[in-house]
Amino acid sequence: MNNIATAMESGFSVTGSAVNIQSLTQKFRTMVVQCARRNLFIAETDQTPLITGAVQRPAGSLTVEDFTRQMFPDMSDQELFDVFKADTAEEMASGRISRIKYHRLLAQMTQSDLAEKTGMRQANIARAESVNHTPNQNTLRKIAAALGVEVKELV
Amino acid sequence: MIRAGGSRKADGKEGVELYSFRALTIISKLIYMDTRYEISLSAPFSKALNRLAGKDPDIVKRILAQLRYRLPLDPYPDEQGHDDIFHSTVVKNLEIDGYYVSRLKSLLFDKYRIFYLVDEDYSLIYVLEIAPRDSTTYDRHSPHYRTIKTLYLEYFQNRGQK
Repeated sequence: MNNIATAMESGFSVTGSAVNIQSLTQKFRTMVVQCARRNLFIAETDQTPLITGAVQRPAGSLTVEDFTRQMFPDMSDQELFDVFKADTAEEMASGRISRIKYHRLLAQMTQSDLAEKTGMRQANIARAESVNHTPNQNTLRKIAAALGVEVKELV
Repeated sequence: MIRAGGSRKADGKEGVELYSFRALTIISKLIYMDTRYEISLSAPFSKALNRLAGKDPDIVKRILAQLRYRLPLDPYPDEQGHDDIFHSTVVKNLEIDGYYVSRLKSLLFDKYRIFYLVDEDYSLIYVLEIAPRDSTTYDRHSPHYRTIKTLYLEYFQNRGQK
């Protein structure tokens, strides 16, 4: 493999966009590409690409997306998400998860995503969405804004 | 004794190369900033879901929905404690059998317990097995236990190969 472009021309599919950063003492250009069952981590230094890591998906395994398509070919992603939404709503109604967590899951955000959007720490998000904790109004406002819901929907 | 999932020891030149390899992988991941996990289903797990779909397709849809939309966001147990995976009997049994287990988790779902491992270095969750919640779930002689053990060890023995 002479360079990343050649790798891409050879049938690799790029799963992440290339990023140029000035880091440490050298300029790294890095991306993650997929080839067959492998995720390859590639860093390019001074125009010399280097495969820095690789993980091979275990033999015989399928991604959950591929398996779902095989098992239920007529079911759309939205229909599957609706199933998820209904189960998650039931969890919230039974008090097993908080309203904040419910809305975070529906927004498909990790606690880290929400922390970044609100400017809070991830640990504080975890505490805020605990069923035994009632966050203050300021926290609720930040979270509601990040999740695109009304404050009243979170309490 | 086979130790799976633990740190590897540097040994001369090979060890240095291994550390460089791992360090650059981590740098790549930091730059890439991808915190989402890819979910891979093992062949035994897929077969079990196929069998289950013949009896109860709705439960299979619910399981797939959780794996696809919930697990990548929250692969670790929450503090409500309705998932006791860190101290699960399967983990204890593997440790009794001489294995070092650090990444085996499980998801409690209805009448089933789903076992998976989390490979943080590669943002991969490998779903190993589904077991009914009954007297056989934690039996060291049950087929579920043997499957989990085999897949877990195979994964870490093959992991990281270029």
